[in-house]
Amino acid sequence: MTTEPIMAEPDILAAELALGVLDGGDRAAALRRMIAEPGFARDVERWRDHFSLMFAGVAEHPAPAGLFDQVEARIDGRAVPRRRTANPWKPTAIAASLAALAMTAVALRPVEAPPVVPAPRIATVPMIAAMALTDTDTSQPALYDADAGILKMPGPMPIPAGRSAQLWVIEGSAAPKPLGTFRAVAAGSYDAEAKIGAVIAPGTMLAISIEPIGGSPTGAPTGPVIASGLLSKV
Amino acid sequence: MATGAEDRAAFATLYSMTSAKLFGVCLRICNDRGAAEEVLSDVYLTIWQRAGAFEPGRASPISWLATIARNRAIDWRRSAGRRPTTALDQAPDVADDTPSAEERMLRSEDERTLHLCLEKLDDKQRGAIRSAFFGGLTYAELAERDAVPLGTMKSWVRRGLQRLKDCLRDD
Repeated sequence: MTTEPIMAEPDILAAELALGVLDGGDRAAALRRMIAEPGFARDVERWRDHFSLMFAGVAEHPAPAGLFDQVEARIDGRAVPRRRTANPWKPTAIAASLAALAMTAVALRPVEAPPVVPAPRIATVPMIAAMALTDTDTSQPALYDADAGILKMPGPMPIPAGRSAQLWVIEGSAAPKPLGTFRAVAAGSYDAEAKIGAVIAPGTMLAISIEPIGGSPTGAPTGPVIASGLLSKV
Repeated sequence: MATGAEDRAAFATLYSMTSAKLFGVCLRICNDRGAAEEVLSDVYLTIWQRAGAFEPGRASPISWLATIARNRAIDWRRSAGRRPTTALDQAPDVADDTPSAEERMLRSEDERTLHLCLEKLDDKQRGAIRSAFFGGLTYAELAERDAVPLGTMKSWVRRGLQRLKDCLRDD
């Protein structure tokens, strides 16, 4: 078999992006394509689903005794001595915990069923999206409030100084539609105007790109995509 | 800021149902027990905070949780500056990764199909795809690890992905 590189057809490019093998300019180009071409975005999602099936083959190992107590203590904000290991993870972990504490204030509790009062209407079910952050390979929730026409991102976003982060919605096979730009409402927490309407088609995708201050001048994304995710009902 | 007792009970149940799997994922990627424990603790803290972000009807819950564990573990590996050692795809649970043991864990039709399709690939193709998935390795990192030219690595992976695609479509 020859070892000459072969050109990647679009669906293989989607697989490469989902697998995470692309970097630098190739990755940026593939991400731009993700918001420009809904079909491509769906291919990426499909490949992600395929690849996630690989977890089935990972052997289970009983978690260490006491670890759940440690997690609960962290949830309650109680200080617990963390296990001592000589690795540089600790500062990151502590920073993550602090960020987590900040997030609890704007946590997703409203998303979960309100305890007593029955909702008078069914039209405005809260909607959420798990926004995959393209740089860090992690994801964070976005909460869509259809009544207010606001999308909340209760977590930090990498927005360069002097630039705006703009929200886009991609419905069906339509071109990305520009929505609002994000503004900080608290440390590491952002809101953007998002007039999407109360009825969201299944598979509606949200994306966030970096644009000049105030948003894209062209009506199409011009900068790198920093996050994307499918909007769905809670 | 009260967190409901019901939420907490559900979380405890979720933990008991999923922690062995997620610890397996952390161990496999970190290849360091102490680190895997810390990552697992972070993973469940994340799950608690993001329970609302789960998209029902898309990936299975365990896939969603395992993806969080994978991403956290890969973050740890990167922050720890760990270069993946050789043949990450065979470490560290190689003992349980014999085909029969692995096949026993495949519960759904989709899981079996993907497994069978991966098995049909060349060792090099499969190894690179699994390393990319479990190690978060890019083409450049895969090529460096295996000491092959970048173009060669791209070729292996692309051919592997193409064959995977054909196999999954045929099913």
